[in-house]
Amino acid sequence: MAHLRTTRREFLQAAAAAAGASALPGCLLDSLPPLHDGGFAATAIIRAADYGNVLFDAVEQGFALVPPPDVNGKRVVLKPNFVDLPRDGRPAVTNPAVIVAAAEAFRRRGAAEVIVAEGPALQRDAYEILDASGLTPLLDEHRLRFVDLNLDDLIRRPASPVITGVDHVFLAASVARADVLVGMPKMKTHHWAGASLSMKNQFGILPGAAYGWPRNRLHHVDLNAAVFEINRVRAPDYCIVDGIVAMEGNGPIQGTGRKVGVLVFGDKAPAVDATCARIMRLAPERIPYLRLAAGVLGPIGEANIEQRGETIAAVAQSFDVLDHLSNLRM
Amino acid sequence: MSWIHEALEQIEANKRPDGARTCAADFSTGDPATEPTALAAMALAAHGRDATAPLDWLVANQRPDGGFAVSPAHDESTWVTAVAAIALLSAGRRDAGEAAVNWLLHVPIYTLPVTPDSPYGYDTSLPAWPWTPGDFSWVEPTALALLAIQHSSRADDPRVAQGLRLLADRAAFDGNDGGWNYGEPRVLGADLSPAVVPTALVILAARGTDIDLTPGIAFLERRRDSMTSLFSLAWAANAAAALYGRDDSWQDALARSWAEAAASPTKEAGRGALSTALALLAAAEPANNPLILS
Repeated sequence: MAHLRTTRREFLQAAAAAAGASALPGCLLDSLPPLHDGGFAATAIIRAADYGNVLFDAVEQGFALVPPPDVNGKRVVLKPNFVDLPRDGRPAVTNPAVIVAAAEAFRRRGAAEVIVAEGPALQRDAYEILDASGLTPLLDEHRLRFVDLNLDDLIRRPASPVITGVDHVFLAASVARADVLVGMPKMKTHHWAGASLSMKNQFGILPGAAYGWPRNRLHHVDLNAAVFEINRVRAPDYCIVDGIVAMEGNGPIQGTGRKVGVLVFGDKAPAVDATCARIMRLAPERIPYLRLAAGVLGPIGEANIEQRGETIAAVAQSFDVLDHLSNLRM
Repeated sequence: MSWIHEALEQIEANKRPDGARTCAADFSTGDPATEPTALAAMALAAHGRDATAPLDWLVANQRPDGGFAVSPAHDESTWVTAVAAIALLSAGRRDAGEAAVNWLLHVPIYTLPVTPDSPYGYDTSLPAWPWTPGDFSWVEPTALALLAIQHSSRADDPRVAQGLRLLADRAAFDGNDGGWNYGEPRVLGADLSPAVVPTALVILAARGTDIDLTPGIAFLERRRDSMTSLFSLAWAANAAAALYGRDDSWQDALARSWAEAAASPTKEAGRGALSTALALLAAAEPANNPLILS
């Protein structure tokens, strides 16, 4: 097939040239970019039955198996996924208990400052989401500061035109100035991208004030290429995925809850996401942005990822996906 | 001291030396920004205070194309142009305000032809206003642009009707509530829920038109006493003020929300210039509130 002979650069150029044709991912699923996997990473799967106090132990177990970066004296930014108001009990956002457990773990390791920062995609009012999710009282109790990345100062960084059509992006200053950025996504299916995990979660580091609610300009050029390129500009230094109660079906906001009972840890986002995809019984090599990232930002092949803690087979569940994404199934 | 007095004191005193406001909790840390500065100017003027400094900052930071960037660190004119235009035009800064509206009337827009297999349950071919030039049209920037244009000499521009047509097309109903969300009522066969801020903005922009606002008004009324964030509540209260004048139940809700924010460090940190100015506008005499069209 012709697309298998294209290079990664050619694929990205083609994606940029197709700007305005469609936001649908189907065109990309039919024409996957080439896969050049490589490198090594470790990911850890830790069981956590619920969002109770056991989480503090679960985070420590994850850190023991895949150590986070040294945070002693550093500024740590936790970036959860608060895409929209969680409605009707749907698990659309990172559970606040996971955020607090991670914050305390980083404090125990000597972090000078830990802040929670997010730029919701579909709502201007981030604080309404904090309240609806139950995060507000926990932030107060644990003396954690929240930054609405959508309204943060803008820091210009060079970037591929694939993201927005120009040769730079504006990052939220709190993220640009973070010593250690920790991605804390929810394990979710995504009706355009296939899966919303660590790499997709990085959309939130681009302020809505500059890119809108939603950041359609990023979808407009090419969603998968934008996910990859944003991570090339600023990837998370460490990832903790909330897969205790995940979302399947019509994610990232209208899916249904699926209890998986795991947290997934790692320091290379593509590897973490590949492990999560396999837990969801989705093939990571069929998710275009993971193919683009493979071997550049981290590996996605099972042979290149050392699995620590629970095995994938022990916790994997077959997630429902929308019909047009059925070819993502393993 | 009433919350209104306290809020006025804060928004008057907390500013950068150049008169601008920022999005930070203290209104002054970090980069000056167009939206909080414009809203602060509106709020001060609506309560009879001097808004000269923030208005001067807006004029000084207007881009050569007539539009406004998010902040001086940004490099293109965007949706905040509409907010600046409302502030300028309502304060009698006509030249700068008309230039901003002129930018709005010429901003490039991206549309999609409607196809039988479209996943979008709305008319993607309708042009209105995007968040950023060349992007798709969405509800909030469209409503803000319509408000700005109706303050200008271009109120009869054909793009006003186009914008209203888009707002009518994007009305959302999820089975329980009606109103507007960011701009997608239905995607991939699923209904998306309305949200407070877009619904309030549409009520402000489309009041008196043929668009049926009834479901959105009912949605905001149902949510009034359960809204926990001042930003959402303040937008909703502005919409209510446009409909009913300064209604006691909405004014009480604003006072409650202001007090609750003081009890939570997180909420207090989130009560920046945007929320404070919007709350003050909702508490102002409606005739002095530029978000309410006469």
